[in-house]
This record gives sequence, structure tokens and C-alpha cells, in this order.
Amino acid sequence: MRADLKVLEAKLPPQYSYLHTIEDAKSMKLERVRIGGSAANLGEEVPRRFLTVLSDGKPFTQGAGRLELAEAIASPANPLTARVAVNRIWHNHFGAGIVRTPSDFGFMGDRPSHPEVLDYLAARFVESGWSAKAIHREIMLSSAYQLSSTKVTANLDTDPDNRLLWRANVRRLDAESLRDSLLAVTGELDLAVGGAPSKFSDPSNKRRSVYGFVSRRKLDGTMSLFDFPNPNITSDKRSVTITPPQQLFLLNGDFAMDRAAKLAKTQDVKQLYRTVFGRLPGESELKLANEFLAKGNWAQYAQALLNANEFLLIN
Amino acid sequence: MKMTRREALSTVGAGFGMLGVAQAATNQPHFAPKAKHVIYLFLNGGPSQVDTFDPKPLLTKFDGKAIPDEFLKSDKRPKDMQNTRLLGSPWQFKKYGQSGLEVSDLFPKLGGCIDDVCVIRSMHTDLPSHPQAITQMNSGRLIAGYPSMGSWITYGLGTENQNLPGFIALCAGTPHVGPELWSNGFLPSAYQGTYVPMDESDPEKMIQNLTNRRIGRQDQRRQLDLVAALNKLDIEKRGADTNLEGRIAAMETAFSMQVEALDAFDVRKETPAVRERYGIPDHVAESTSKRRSATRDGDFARGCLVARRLVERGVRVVQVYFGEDIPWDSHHDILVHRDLARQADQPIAALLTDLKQSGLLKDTIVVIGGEFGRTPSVETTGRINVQNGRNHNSDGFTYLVAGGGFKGGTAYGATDEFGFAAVENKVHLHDLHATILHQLGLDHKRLTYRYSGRDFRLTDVAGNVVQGVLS
Repeated sequence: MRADLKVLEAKLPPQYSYLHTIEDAKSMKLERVRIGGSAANLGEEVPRRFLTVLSDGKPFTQGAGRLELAEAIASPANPLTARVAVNRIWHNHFGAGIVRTPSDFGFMGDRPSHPEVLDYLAARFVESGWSAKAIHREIMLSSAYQLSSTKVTANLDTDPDNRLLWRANVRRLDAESLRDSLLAVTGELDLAVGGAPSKFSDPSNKRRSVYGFVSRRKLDGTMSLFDFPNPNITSDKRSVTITPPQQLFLLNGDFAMDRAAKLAKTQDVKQLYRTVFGRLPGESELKLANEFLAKGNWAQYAQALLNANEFLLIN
Repeated sequence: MKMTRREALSTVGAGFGMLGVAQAATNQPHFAPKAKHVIYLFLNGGPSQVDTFDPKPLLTKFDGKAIPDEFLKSDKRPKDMQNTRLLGSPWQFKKYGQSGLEVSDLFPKLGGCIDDVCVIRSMHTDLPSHPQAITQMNSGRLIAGYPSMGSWITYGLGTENQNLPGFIALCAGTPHVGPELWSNGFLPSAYQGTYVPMDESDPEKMIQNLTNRRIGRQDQRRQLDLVAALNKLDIEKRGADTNLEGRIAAMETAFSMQVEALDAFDVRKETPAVRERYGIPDHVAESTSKRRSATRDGDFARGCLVARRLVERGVRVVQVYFGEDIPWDSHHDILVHRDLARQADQPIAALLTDLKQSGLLKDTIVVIGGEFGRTPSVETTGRINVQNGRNHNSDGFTYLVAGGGFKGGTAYGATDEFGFAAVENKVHLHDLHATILHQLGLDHKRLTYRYSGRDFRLTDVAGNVVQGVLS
């Protein structure tokens, strides 16, 4: 039988995709209040139900109450879920949320800078059938989103933190966007959809970073270098650091140098500017290019462009 | 809304060298510090206290016997008294230095430095299991996801050397649990420990992307000048910005770091005499032979010497793990401690001697210990074939702390007659953490970070500064 098992096992595909899932319990066991947080000091039994400030607080009745909890969280009558969701989408477009504490809309959290906008978007989100794409579109078509990062001294004096969104925030590309952008400018980015994850450390992996393999035990070094969050805990927003080891990756790392070498095949400053920055070079930039190329090679020049703030920061 | 100073710091690589004087001024201690650096020599696996720094004559007397009933009246009596057999230490203890503190034959060289060492014999923690204990010793918590002590310290104080990371973890191989031990948890990632493998001796192999094999240094300088010129045009167009300027500074730091790190991490820059004093052999086995069981001669020693070189250059926190996984976990045979101690004793003594000679010991807290100690009784559970080892013990064990205002030549606290549990002047790891922070000028109750709706601390809601270990 063992031999048969071996034969059958050998026939399995090498690695199949699976999802961990849960099954609701048939009945619920009520917990008692731990008075003062002590496991020994038990108070009354508490019925399972949603937060009373956000609902009628009726006790759950089906199974362990898991489905009812999910329904209460996603209920159109509960404005909090939609607000939190659209605020996160907003946060990722602007670098800061309308509420700057994305996971805390309570008393300890930040107050919204634009409460009406938040409520409008939350309402639109529910109306559109919880479509994230609709909210992305709505936000990106706004004039606030389309502002440049140019500074206005008078505004800077009154609102240095740009809470009122008088300009675009300058932001560093996150780990995934940086990797994807480097692959995109050389035309190497593999846009295939779906499939098994691929290792970031594999130089032949040109797939979008969203398909990167994330190990909880050992996070990929480059991802972690550019602030990919610890996968063992929840993370409501990325910390953004600008550190010397990141620059070493861009200056000396094989991944960056290989992209530069590939890009260098263009051997045309104007074309390089179009590809890397989406614009044509100015006069002083052309002059710098000519001076550099008189003594340096194209790969070094292309790498300098990939190291420029204009490429690595969103302006 | 004004950014708080912590938020302001989180936008630049503060842990890695604050960029510019403005930020440098914001990472201030709460009060005048006694120390500036920490070297934490982590003997992972759990060294036995009763065979090293906590002599128990009664253990020798009752070797091989059950615990006589008149002893151990505390609540920490072993549960299975019937089957517990005491195991006397195979090593002799001798008095060392002016203080006359007793150290076993396992650590004769460290014994020679004992007048500079505070021997805390009453350490205790919450769980005698490796993953939880090693995590807790580093972050104060039994579970993953919280910032390590090194991250808290660099968050609180920043670093002194802009060209090197502020918190560096050294190990030949990877200690049990791994990178989580030097994780920044929810603190900004600039405060995470930078892991550097110690089974290499060539800095180019130790640090990712440290050197460029395709572009020479002069060409790279030209390249950087071009980037700087492009960035300058960009700033003229957009106006100054902390992000733009931060990146320019980080780039220059990276350029100088290539030279600085090549020097700092290279023990070959020391004289052969110094390397010999630490116990680093001239010829390291080829890196291709990467023996993952570690504890090769010289691996931990190299870590100790690199730690000294890093602290000399202003690095805030250096942690040196003894080796891969849990080398000190001597369940089968306590005699394994002999070889481990031989590899530990010489470099630790050399490090303490060097730091004292250069005066750096005054500014540097050197912490030595593992995730727990070991039982005074013999280990009989599990698949144990040679019944001459000891099991885990988190109720009582020894930590050594030297320098940084800790009281040298002193034994603080005590375990019971046999060494099962701390009974006198007990020091919980939260207390040790609080005391280390205190010496660095940080109030453990005020060093907080807001996450998930509340302020977190290294010591959670516990910890007291132990005045008795301070001079």
C-alpha cells in the first residue's frame, strides 16, 4: 500500500494552489466578562452581537455568529466600514489619508481634514456596489489629485503639512512600484495575470511585484529595504524611509545595474528622457548629458537617470 | 497640523544616520545618559548558570540524588520531585579579582575581568521554551511583531555615525526564530537591525551591494555628481523638500559607507596579535563550506571583534549571537558546554579588556546572556540517550552586565540553594530592559510609540529600574 501511495503521490502536481478557509461552528459558546482583565474574576455572560454604538445591538442567532458579524461589518447602514475603506484608497493616492490614522477612526485617532469628502466617497462606494475601481476613478479625476507638487510660499507658511491639499505630496515609490517601474522602463515587465507566486530574489523573475512570493519567516531583503511591512503583523500604512542601503541597492546592486545596461541600448538622450521621465530633456539637462557621455558610457548615464529623484519620487 | 518629532523622523533614515543637523538634534535622551552604546552578546540556547557564574555547593553534595525534603520551600519546587535528580557541576569554581566573585573553570579569562562585571544571579522570564523566550528577551513580548530592544534604543537616540547602520545584529548563520529578533516591529523600518553574517570575514560578502564590480570609484563619483546635478535642477523647478534633500544626503552617505563599512567590518585590518587574543584563526574555512551547525572556532570571536570596531565608530547597538539556531541547548550532556565556553570565554574577555583600555567601557553597556538558564537537575525527558544534561529554566538564571555605569565586581540577587529559581532581589527581563534604557538616558515609561490606537513601550506595563546593579 505504501508503494501505491508513493506512486500516487508522484502523480500529484508539484505544487497546487490552495486557500486556508474556515467553517462556522454549529452553535455558539458565550464568553463571560473578565473583570479587570483577570481570567479568574469572571462576570456576566455577554451575548455575541455587533457594537451597540453602530447597530441595534441585537444578539446573533445563527451558528457561532460569524456570518452575522460579517454582514454587520459590511452593512450599508454602518458608515464606518465604507469610510475606512475609501480613506485607505485615498491614503494610497495622496500619501496621507483624509483621516491620517487609517486604522483608528475613534476617539484616539485623527479627525478628518475633509469630512464631507470622506462621507461623499463612502456613500459613492456603497452605491457603486463596493467597487474600489469606481472610487479610484472618482479620486483620480478630481482636481485635487491632479495638482503638481510645486511649492507656493504663501501656502507653505499657512499649511506646511499640506493638510488642505494645495499641492501634491512628494512621495517615495514603494518597494513594489519601484521594482515594477525599473522593469517597465526597460520594457521587461511581465504583465501576465494570475498564477503561482515567484521569488523576488530570482533574477529571471520579471513579473509584477504583486505576484511576488512573501515569506513570513524571512522577508525578501530588497522588499524589506524599501519598507515592505512585517508580514507577521497588521500594517495600516507603510513607513517611508530614505536610507543609504537603499542607495547602495540602486548604485551597486545587480538588479539596478542590469536595468541600466538594458536601458542603455537606446543610446539617445531624448528617447531616454521620454521613457524614464515621460518628457523631453531641457537645455541644461542635454548639456549635462553631453558632458557626461564625453567621458562616461551609456550604461552609467542610464543608471544616473534611474537614480534621479524624478524617477524614484512621485512628484 | 504640525508633525510630531517622531513623525518627522520617520520620513528620513533616522535610524541609519539622521540626515542633517536639524534631525540630529531631535533624537534626545530624556535625561543625562551614563552610556551611549550597547553590545549584547547573546548566548542563544540557554547557558547553564550553575556551571558558570552561580556556584551551588549543595548541588555537588547531593549530586545524583533527589532533593532532600528540607530544602526548596518556595513555590518553584520542581513539579515532579520524585523523579528529579540533582546534577552537580562537573566544573570547579574559583574566586577571581579583588571582588572575589566565583567563576567556574569554564570562563577563566572572563574571570580575570570579573571586577568590571555585574553578575545578576536572579534573572527570570515567563516561559522556558526557545522561540518564546528568545523573542521575549529581545522585545519584551512572547510573540512576534514587537520592536526589539535595539530598535527601541535607536528610535530613542538615533545613531552617531551617519555612514553605518545604528543597530547591527551579527551572527554566523541565523539564531533560532531569525530576523524577527532584530525586527523594528511597528516602529519605522529605519530602526530595524541590520543583519550581517559572521561566517564571512570579507565585508563585501557580508553586506549586500557594498561594492560595485562594474564601475570604478572615480566613475561612480562622476555618476553621483551627474545625479546631484539632475536633482539640483529638479529642486530648482519644484522647490526644496525634505524627501528630495533626504535622498541626496542618503546617496552621499552610501558613497562614503562603501569605504567606511569595508573598513569597519574587516577584522583583517587588526594585527595578527589582536586576532589571536580574540581567538580568530588566520584561515577561515572557505565560505562555500557554510556549515550551518555553526560554532566554528572564531565565528563568535569575529563577532566580538567587529562589535568593538563598530562601537568605536559610533554604532549605537550591536548584538552578537553566539551561532546558528541554539548552540547552548545542552540537553543530553552538559559537557558540551566546555567547547562552547572555550569559544566564548576568550573573545568576551578580549572585548572587555579592549573596551576598558580604550575607555569605551564607560560608555558601553556590555550585556551577556541567553534566553534562559538551565535546571540544576538532570534532564530525563524526551529522546535523551546520555543522561548528563540540563533542561530549560526560565525561573532563575544569570546575566552578566559590564560597563555603562553598571556596578562591576558585584553579584546581585540570588537563586535558591540549588539554582532552580530566583528568590532574592529578583530581576525580570523587563527590569533589565528598563535599567539598560535608564543608563542610556531613556525613561522606559516615556519611550513610547503610538500603534493600533495606543502607546506601546519596550517594557509594556511592567519593569523597574534596578538601582542595586548601578554604581
